[in-house]
Amino acid sequence: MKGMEDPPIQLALALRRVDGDSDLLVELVRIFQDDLPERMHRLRGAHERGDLPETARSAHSLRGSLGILGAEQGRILAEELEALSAAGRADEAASTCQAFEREVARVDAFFSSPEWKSRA
Amino acid sequence: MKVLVADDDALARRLLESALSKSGHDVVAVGGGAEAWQVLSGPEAPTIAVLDWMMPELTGVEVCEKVRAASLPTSPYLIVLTSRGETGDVVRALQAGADDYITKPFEIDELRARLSVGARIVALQQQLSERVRALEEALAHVQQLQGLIPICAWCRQVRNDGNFWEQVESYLGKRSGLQFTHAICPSCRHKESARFKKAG
Repeated sequence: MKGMEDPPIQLALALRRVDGDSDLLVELVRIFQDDLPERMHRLRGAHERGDLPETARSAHSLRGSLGILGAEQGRILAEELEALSAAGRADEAASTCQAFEREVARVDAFFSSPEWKSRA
Repeated sequence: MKVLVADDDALARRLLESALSKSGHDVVAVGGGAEAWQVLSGPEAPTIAVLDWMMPELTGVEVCEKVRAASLPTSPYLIVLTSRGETGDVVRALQAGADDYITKPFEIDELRARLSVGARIVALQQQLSERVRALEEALAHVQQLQGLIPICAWCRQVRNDGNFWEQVESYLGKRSGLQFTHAICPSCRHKESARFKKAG
């Protein structure tokens, strides 16, 4: 696993995923940020209820979006959380879920700062 | 070409819609498997579909199964999007009726290339269907000329399927596309000229 000091977003990768269309990337980020509170609420709720299948589904869904946006660290953590939840390994899933939430917060903070658009 | 995109993730759906629209496709985007099935089984259905595997109500793989089990007028080319890259998952998708799969996160170039393959196969299927239809029509014409045709022993008119008597030229012309020019054979000429002389 990479250190937490790494930037949460690989902008070059994100731009490649959208075929270099920075306007589209801005639009996708807006969709991501609009939906994020509800998606994280669903994930947290499932995790707190101990609903591992739903935790896996929520992590899976977020994994796809994070992959498109070049959030590699977040995508990897989502993948881990999905796999641990699907395997019923609740204790490990709990610690991974916390790390995932922190990483998603970093992703959100990155996209909330106005500077990133000028670099895209 | 009309393409259906089905993904419950609004972000992925928008990306697919944008990438395929830029490639000149007419995109219909939906957010779930049940909606995807509705579109594919409805009128003027898209000929290519990109279906996410994990969707609520019906998964992409379940949509593939329903499409293949139904007798749809045209069989669409189905691509399943999956973040499950393992061989067992791929085999399951293909066995369910998918024609191809793309692993998430995907590269736009790969998506477009796979769509081109799908478009080529759909075009070939359509050409083949048209040829089969033309051959069936030709066969129907040939079959109309087979069998016993009642013909009047005196005037040589034939009885058609509607139980009407018509000239043999008209009967054959309608069923084969044959055209007739009228002439007189040597023996008839001899017979008819003798008749005219006798009458005159």
